[in-house]
Parts: sequence; structure tokens; C-alpha cells
Amino acid sequence: MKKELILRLKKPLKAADIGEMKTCKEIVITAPTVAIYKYYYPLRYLTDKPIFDAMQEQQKNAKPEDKQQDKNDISNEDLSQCILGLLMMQNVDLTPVIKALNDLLVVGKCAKLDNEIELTQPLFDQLSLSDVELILGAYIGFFMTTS
Amino acid sequence: MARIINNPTVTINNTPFPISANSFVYTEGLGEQKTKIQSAGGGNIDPVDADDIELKYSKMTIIALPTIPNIENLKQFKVLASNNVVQVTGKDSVTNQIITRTFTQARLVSDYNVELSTEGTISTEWNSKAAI
Repeated sequence: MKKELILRLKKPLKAADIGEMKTCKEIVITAPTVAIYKYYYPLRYLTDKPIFDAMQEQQKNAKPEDKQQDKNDISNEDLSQCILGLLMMQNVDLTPVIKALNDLLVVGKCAKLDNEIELTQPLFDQLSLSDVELILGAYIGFFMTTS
Repeated sequence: MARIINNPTVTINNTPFPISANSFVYTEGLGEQKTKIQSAGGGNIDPVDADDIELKYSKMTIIALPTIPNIENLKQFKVLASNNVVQVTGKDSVTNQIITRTFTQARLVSDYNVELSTEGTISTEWNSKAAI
């Protein structure tokens, strides 16, 4: 498992940093530890089964010549899209999923902008929906489906 | 019909900071303009304006209640000197218009009193670069 996940934000955020406003272009998310289990498992509970079901469906429909791509060979963005696609296939309501991600990142304090500024609730609220989806898919892809 | 903004959201260093109701006061930091009159001769006058750049900074008053998080946070803001950023956002509930002001290099100037009593408050005075 990777120690941290670095994602480039589609819409940069303005955040306070040592008395000035700074435009942040990246979000760095640290790998889950037992310290954040209270926020990690709710997200996992909401997404594990739909992803597993969707993957099984895909495997049934897969042709023999389809190659299994190694997760390390694809970009964070592509993996995120893939995971979101699996969730959408199962008609998962993303509202509680995003709420769980919000708690995980903000209350669990495991995300930093430009690896310096802690992601707080006002900053999370500024994230664009496409960035939240990118983070969600990448987080599940890297930190939940590996185990 | 527009509404008075009396319940703004205050964020200090990216973290929400709860304030006493109806307590946030600020200046835009546009300074003061002084007008002097010069004589143009023949009984005519010619007004001349001057910007007082020494006053081109924002002042804020924020009143907080003496809870432990507020007391600890304010102490931290004081220690940070001018390395704070205060943001205030107000929303008109009728028109949904939003007003935001950002005060960079904000510093707590007064050695504020912490009143530990039922009716106690912590009244703080801040200076910053002109509001954006």
C-alpha cells in the first residue's frame, strides 16, 4: 500500500497560510492507520459491497482476451474514474459516501493541501464536486481495495 | 428586500471560529481622505484631496465567549502575531447574496481580557492588511 496519495486538484483552492492566502493545487492524503478507524470503516462499509458486486459482474462479462491491467500501471485519475464507474453501476447514493469521506479527511485529519495546510471543513466545502469525486475514487482505489 | 447581515461565518486560519452574536465589526481599510482648501485667488477656493495612507489597514473587533477552545485558540492567534488570516462570510437569506472579506496578516493587537463569568466575553481587537 502506498504511504500517501497525491492528487492534482482540477480547481485549485485558496487557503490561509502563514498570514497570507495561498493557491493550493495538490492534495496529499496519508494512508489510513488505526488512529482513524472510526472514519475509515464507515466509508468502507458503504462502498465495499457495491464495488465487489460490480467487479464480479464485470468479470462475468469479460472476454478471455481482455487484459487485467496492473493497478500500479494506471494513473490516479484513471483508477478514480474506474472506481466511480463501479459505484455508479450499482446505483450507489453518493450522498452518505461523500459525507463519510468528508469525516475521514477532515475529522480524521489525514489530508493536506500542498502537503502543508490541513484540510479543514471550510476548505473541504470549497472543493469542487469533480475534485471530491476524484479524491473519493482514488482513496477507495488505493487504500481500500488493496487489502 | 435585502436583509441585514448579523450572523456571519468567521474563519480564522482555515478553521471556523465561533463568535458572540452581533459582535463582528470591521473597517474596509480604505483609509481616510483629507481635504485641504487652497486659495485660487479672487475669493475662489480650490479643494485638494489627500489620502492618509497611514490608515489604509483594516481594524476588526471580534467578541468571543470564554469557552476553553476559544480561550486556547485566541492565545494561539496572539502567539502567531501577524501570521493569521481572518475570513468573514455573510449570506442574505432572502436574496442569497454572499459577501466575503479576507483579512491577511491579521494580528491581535490588544492584550484582551478573558472574563470568566456567566455573562463573560472576550473582546478582541485586530489589525490587518486592507480587506480583500
